[in-house]
Amino acid sequence: MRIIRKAMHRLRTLTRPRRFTRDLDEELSFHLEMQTRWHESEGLDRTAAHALAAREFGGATRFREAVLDTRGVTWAQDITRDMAFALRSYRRAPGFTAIAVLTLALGIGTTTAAFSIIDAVLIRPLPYEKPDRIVTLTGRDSAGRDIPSVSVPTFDDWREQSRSFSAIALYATARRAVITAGEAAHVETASVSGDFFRVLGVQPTVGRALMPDDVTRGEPVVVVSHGFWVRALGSPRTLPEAPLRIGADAYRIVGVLPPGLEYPAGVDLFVPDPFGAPWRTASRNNINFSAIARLADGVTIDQARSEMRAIAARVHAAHPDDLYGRSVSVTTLQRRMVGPVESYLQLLAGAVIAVLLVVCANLANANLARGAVRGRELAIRTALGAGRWRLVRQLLVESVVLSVSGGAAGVALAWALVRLIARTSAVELPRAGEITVNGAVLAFALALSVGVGLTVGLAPVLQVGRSALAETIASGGRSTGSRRRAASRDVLIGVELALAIVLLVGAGLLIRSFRAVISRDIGFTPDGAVAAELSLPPARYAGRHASDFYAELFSTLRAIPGVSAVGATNSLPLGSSAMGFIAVEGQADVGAAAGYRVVSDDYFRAMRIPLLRGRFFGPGDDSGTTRVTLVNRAMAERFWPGEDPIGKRFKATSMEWKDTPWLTVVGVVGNVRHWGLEQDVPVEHYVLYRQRPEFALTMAVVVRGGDAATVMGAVRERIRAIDRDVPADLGTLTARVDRSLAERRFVMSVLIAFGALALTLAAIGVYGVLSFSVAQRTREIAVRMALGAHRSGVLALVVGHVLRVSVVSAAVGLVAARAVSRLMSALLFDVSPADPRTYVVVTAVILAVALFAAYVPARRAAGVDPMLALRSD
Amino acid sequence: MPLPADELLQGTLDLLILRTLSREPMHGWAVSHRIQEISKEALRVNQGSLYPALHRLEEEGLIEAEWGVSELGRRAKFYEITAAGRRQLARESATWRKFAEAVQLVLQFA
Repeated sequence: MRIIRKAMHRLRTLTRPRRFTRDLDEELSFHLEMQTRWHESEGLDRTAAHALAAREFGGATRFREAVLDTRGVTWAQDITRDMAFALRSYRRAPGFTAIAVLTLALGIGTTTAAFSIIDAVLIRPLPYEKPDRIVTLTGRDSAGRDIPSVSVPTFDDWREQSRSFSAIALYATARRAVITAGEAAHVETASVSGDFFRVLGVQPTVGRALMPDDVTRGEPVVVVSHGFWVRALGSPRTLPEAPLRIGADAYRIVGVLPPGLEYPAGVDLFVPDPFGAPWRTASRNNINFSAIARLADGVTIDQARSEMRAIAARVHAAHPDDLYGRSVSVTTLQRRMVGPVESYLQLLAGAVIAVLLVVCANLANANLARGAVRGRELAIRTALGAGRWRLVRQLLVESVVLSVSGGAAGVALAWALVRLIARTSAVELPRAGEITVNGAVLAFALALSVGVGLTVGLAPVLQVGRSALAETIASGGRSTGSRRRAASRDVLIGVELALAIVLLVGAGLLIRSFRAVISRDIGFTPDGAVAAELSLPPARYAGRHASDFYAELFSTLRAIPGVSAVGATNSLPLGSSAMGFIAVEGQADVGAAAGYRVVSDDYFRAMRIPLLRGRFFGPGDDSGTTRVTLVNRAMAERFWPGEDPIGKRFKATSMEWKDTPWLTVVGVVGNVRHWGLEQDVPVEHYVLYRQRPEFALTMAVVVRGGDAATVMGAVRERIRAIDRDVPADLGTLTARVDRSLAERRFVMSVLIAFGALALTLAAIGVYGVLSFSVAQRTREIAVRMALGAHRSGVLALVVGHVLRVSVVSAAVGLVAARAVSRLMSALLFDVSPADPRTYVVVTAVILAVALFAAYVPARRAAGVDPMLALRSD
Repeated sequence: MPLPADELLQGTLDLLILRTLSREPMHGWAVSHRIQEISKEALRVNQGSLYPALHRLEEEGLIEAEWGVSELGRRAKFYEITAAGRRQLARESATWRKFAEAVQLVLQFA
């Protein structure tokens, strides 16, 4: 209450200043009149009484100001004046101003950009109705690991038994061939159960969402994303009459979703799916489905969690062969979406904060130096009666004016950075489409700028209080200030160097990790091969027709000049791929998992995956002959250690639907890091596509040899020549490998950039402080030299100063870096957070840079001419 | 030699003003006059301190101001103590008394 009244008073005074002054004048003149009358009543005549009263009264102006001061009026006026003064003084020092604004822009810009990313990805709620009520349900395996998907029968049990949810839904995503405007293309499509949109709580902008009766009616209908509506359909105002062709079927478009929805990631089409046979009766280990649910009113996530745990335990007891449904995780959707990138974003936040601190330290130092030079001006103004608070205010205003200008430039930088990140998508962030520089981000940038201004401005303010007036004026404002002042400058550059060390150690560890990752053997040769991921319309290519298509395609592709081998696989390395279960003849282990890859005869030659034993697939293997398989080395070692696996047999129990025939091992091939360079080699085996034509509808064709661009053009052309309706996504294998490293490379680049930035700023800081201290001590140095000090002695004086500061800060920085490196151990690969080489190299770099920065001022100090310097006083 | 009231301990002037206004609403001059009179001319309130103090107290809600007609027949600003002001006065007077007694004891026995 009191604060509000106070604010109202102030506001009234500020908004109606004239009225306020008039009232005040009237009050004062009344006082004067009363005092005059009082003196008259004591016997003085009117003139004398008035004169006496006026004398007692004192200066009316001072007093009016005193009252106005309590009302905060002069305050607002003074701030305006201070700002004008600040702008004038910055215009007089354009060099300093430009560098200051630039560094501020870098510091505030990167921090703001990081904030806009973190805000969009981590903080802002998802664009659904009551998004915190949406949860994902995922299974857990026997090791307690989260399995991001579930089987249909297990999901059915969960749905029937749970009471915690108002809606629960299942979905599965797949890339499907869609033909729009005569062009075939792959579109990420989600098959969803009836309650899917009730769980998400989304209202379409045009038309309607999918309903439960869409599933039961079985009419082919589709809801499209906003992006697809704009890109592929040209955003018509009403729903188009013409159906959308997905694969071989025609779907009626019934609704368009609002923009900004990014779940499930990348999905453009939603079609209803009853998830009936064969899924409903399939093995519980067929876990290609995702489950989401909306918490019922009044149910907490903890209650849902304990209910689901009990259900999962019951279901698992009834179906002990269910390997992935041992337990269940109930996680909010937001957590599930952003969880994987959280550690990257935290590292990003830490790095920008470190850079911002370096910027602040640098500016505080520059301000200290300026403050020392301006000591005389400030001292004189104090002598002329400026209050201390008045000077403090002026310094703070100056600093804030500077930081807000830097902040404005920083917002421009942040805007550019955010656009760059969104456009290049260097790292695949969830919700990347939502990253913008919006009101919240601008407010953050403003608050940050003012905060930085006040913090940085405080440095010289603390000095104002201490400076002894007479001393400062007498010394011509050229004193180096107290020991304390010089020490605080050293502390600031020490902080900068230490922060640079922390960032550089982080960058160094990530560089070492990156090198460790890329030096790993991926198991195939990415260079010199292109891949075309294509899918055949199922209706047209059922059964043997797919094999005919590939036979024709392979022979025309082999004819391209320079091409040495052409192969195909249903799952390229570094992408999603199926794991299945096998039962090895004569071995008891029923639950053994192994990757199941479907490939063509020449796939291994096209990929340059080496044959270690036995033979590749050949023309003699066909649909009618013995089912054959090739195993990777890991599989051979896992199941037949010390034995020859050739001729051994096993069944792929989860991947073969009708009956599960024996697969006979005919060869052993080299390991491929299918899941990524950082992952372990999976146990996997390959079967021939002619023996599993059901899997041959979606294949990636690998073409080895020739010039990438030419080959890609020819591949596209030849696929079209055979069937226009077959969409193909082309790319080089090298690009695929690069993409799998994008996140790691991005994080590493960010840390390198920030580390370099911090190092540069710290070098500028060292240079600035030393130049200043040398300039201020010219006289002292001259005296020393006049008294016989040697040039090398002077040089040693300056260099020793730098060494002391940088050795201390290196010690502090290394300890801090060690602590921070522990936090980023999840991002490190094959390198210890305490990796001595990194720490030694970084320390050496820091010392070298500090000495380099000190070199010029040190030379200047050694070059002082005693006669000239002393005479100039 | 009268003591300038504003050179006394900080907060004393506020206390004197509140006490003076606790009897009846009055204008600024009357406040200063009353303090001077009651203290038998021992305390003189400098106008340069009085009015800032009055405005500050008003802003803090301890007193309220209203324009009225004075004994001279011209407009004058009258100050009146508020309930919050009375509470403050009670608190401050107690503190002051305790302080004065303590000083007195020290002067006597130290």
